[in-house]
Amino acid sequence: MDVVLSAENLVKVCTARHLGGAKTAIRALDGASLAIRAGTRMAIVGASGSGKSTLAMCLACVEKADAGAIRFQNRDLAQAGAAELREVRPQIQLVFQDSSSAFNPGFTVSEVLQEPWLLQRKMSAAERRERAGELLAQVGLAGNILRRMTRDLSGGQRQRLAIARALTLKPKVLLLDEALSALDYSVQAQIANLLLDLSDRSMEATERPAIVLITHDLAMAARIADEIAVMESGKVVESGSTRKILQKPEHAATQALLACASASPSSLEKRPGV
Amino acid sequence: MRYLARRFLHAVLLLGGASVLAFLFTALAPGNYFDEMRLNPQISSETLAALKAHYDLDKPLGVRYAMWLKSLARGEMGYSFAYNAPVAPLLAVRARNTLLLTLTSTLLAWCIALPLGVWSAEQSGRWVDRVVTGASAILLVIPDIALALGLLMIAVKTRWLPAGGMVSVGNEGLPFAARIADLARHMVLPVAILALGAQPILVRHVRAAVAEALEEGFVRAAEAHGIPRRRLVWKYALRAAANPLISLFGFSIGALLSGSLLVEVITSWPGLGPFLLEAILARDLYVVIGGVLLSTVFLVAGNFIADVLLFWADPRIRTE
Amino acid sequence: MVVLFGLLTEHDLAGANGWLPDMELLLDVRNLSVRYRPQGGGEVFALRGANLTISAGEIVGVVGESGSGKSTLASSMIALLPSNGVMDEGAVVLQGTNLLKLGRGELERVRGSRVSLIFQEPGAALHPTMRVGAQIEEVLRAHGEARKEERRHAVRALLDSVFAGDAERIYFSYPHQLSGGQRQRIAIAQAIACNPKLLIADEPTASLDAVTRREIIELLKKLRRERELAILFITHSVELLEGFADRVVVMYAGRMIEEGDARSVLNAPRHPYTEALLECRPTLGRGDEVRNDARIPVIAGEAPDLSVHSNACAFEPRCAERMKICGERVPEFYESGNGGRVRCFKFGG
Repeated sequence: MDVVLSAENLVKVCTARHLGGAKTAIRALDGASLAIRAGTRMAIVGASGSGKSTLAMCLACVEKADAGAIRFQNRDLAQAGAAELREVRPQIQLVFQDSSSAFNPGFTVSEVLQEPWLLQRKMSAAERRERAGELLAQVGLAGNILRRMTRDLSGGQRQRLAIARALTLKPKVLLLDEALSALDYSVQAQIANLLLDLSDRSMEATERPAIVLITHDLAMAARIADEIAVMESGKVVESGSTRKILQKPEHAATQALLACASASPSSLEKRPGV
Repeated sequence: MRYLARRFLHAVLLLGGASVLAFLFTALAPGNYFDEMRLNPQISSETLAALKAHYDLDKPLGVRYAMWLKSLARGEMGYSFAYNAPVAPLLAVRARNTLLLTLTSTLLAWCIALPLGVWSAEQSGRWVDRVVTGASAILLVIPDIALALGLLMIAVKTRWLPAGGMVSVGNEGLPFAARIADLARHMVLPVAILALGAQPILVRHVRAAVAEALEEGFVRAAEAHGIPRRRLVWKYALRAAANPLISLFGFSIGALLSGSLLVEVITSWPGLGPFLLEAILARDLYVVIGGVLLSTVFLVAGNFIADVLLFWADPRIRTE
Repeated sequence: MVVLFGLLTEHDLAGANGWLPDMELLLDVRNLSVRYRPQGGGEVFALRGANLTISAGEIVGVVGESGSGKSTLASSMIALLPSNGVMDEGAVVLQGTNLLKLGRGELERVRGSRVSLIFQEPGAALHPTMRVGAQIEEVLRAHGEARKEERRHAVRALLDSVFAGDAERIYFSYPHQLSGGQRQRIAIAQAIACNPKLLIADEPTASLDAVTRREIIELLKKLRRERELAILFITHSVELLEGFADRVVVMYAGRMIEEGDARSVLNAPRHPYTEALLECRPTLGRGDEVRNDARIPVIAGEAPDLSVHSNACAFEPRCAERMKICGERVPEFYESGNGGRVRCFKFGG
């Protein structure tokens, strides 16, 4: 399958600005490389501070990398100008962990969904309403919430809405930065299934967005993604098919993550105290 | 330390800018000190021109600014036409009096506002809080000038306090302690006007900052660890509220300074206020510029003090 | 002890089978009900008649999703509800004292010295402009250690027991200089500073990554061993309780719906909700499920509405095994057959 979005040797130095104005430089990305293939599901896993969120920001062109290349459909986004980026950005969408802060609390669900189309000025009002209804159905939200304010939605509903909005412009890549982590397990499962629905293999590979799940939850990553990339200190230290990562982990970081995630009944038979 | 150095540089630049602006605006204002003489038939236009030339008023603005800077370096800050003397020594005496008034009232205002605001925040919603917020709302709607005149009237009617001036007649002959007591009696009225006028804003800000801090997670966590309520309020919450309050402290010095200019005029306190007013009316150019600049120095110094306090109080600024 | 046992109802003893008789009862929560009055009006019934016992040195895991009432349980146990919370009835009896009947001063003495509570966000739980060492000292000071030298000494010892090393540097650090895991360790040090018998931990690992999460769990295990500290560990991450908790309580819509030995509840859950909850959490397999796009089992339906006081099993609308009776009244606790008890009509009624 074709690579739709890739990063080569990305470097991003974050200068943390302190209250007093002093600065410290941190290499959040230190030569990270990654290839996302069209219509597949990938997970980027790593401990906090490994640079996975920064990588997501750079891939979504929200942050500019200091060095390296980002290729999207044979274009180098790291070198792209503002006009070109404006054209590309709708095709790479990013959903955050805390979507409550991503919406204007005074907007209705309908306004949130229609805003991208309004900005593009390509659709009539009737068309927009129809498409908004379709999108809601696609992400499993009832049509009657269109008039609700976004602040009145539950965490799960807001996350579905965030995904729906990300889908408004039919992106080629959907990046989810810890988008499940703050949710209850039963809701996580629902959203995970929604992601599986969106990228179901019964659709053409070009019809479905590539899904990139950025998470520290290896169990969920392994359940959804075809491929897993493991990050540590700003680099992708190991990547491969989910089977390969789970069954033959090579890098120490991968092994550590696996050990933490699988501290389940079988591996921890000894019971303390009792 | 780099933070403080940066703030200091900032302050100096600000002063430089203020001096340029003061020059520009006084130059733009219509008329000058010698205009009134022109109406006087006994003074010939030649004399007038000679006077102007003597005081360099015929030179272009840039040159005058450069000359003023030079005189500033000599510690003169230009020349007063009305007093026929260098400006700096004239200003120094008045500035000392103004500073005495401003600092005392700043101190007093905070000594009242801080406990009152904290108490009000701690008792949020109860009668103490209602009384305090109600009283400060009333004070807020009374204009400062009305407050000043009201207190002045009380002083005059009751004769408890001297209604004006800084010292009584014959003050010089008294022993030191009595002279201080006399000064203090004269200070009561202007300080009271200033401190009272500042209350509503200060109390409200203190109350809001402390009330907000009391809602923070770490206050609740400390409560869960059994830290007594009194300590939660006076140590945890007040310390967390320090940042906005310190900034407000810097601002309050400036506000009280400009307030004191007015109060000085009303209570005939021999400070910068009456002196500046007189100079403005007489278009005594360099005195006006000097006075404006000195006020700016106080303001900037107040803010710099606030910055230093902030540096001391917040480790997030101190440790990088 | 005799007195305490006398206070227990038969009902409590039924569930206490197996582990209670040989352990000292430490804390007894009885019929605790809490509701909130949100600003916009209406009422939220957050906790509906919670009963819970904890023995000395026991680790009890409370599992629940948002709205299950687990955090309300934690804060109401030391009478630290938000100002819009109303405690309607119930008692929290700690070694013979009902904490909910204490005055403010008495409560301040109990909190931190006999029961401690730590929170989810360790960053928010520490004062931003006080050194962490001093913050631990404050707790000792509040509970009567007047000598400064003694306090310093005690704080060093505490830091040594919660950190692997570097105690000196950490003592003088400010919270913003520490990582999330380190901050949580500080919060734990504060909580155990005065040797409480019980630590209530309200989602202490929710904001940490997987590795740090494990480390904190290991630390808590160690503290239990060393200090006979009983821990009430509240979480929505069921898998954390494996190999950690002795007993597990499952909450749903403000009620406890299943309780029992950790191994039985986690491996052979009896309540349909517990079963469904465990199933929707993916476990680390071999990576084979992905290839055929297999979906994860989910719990159908919406989370329960807490603003209505219903007379039915709260899980009934979402339950795959619902019966007629489930919509008619709230089930009592019944023996689940594996040593625990469960609020489900499948097992009695």
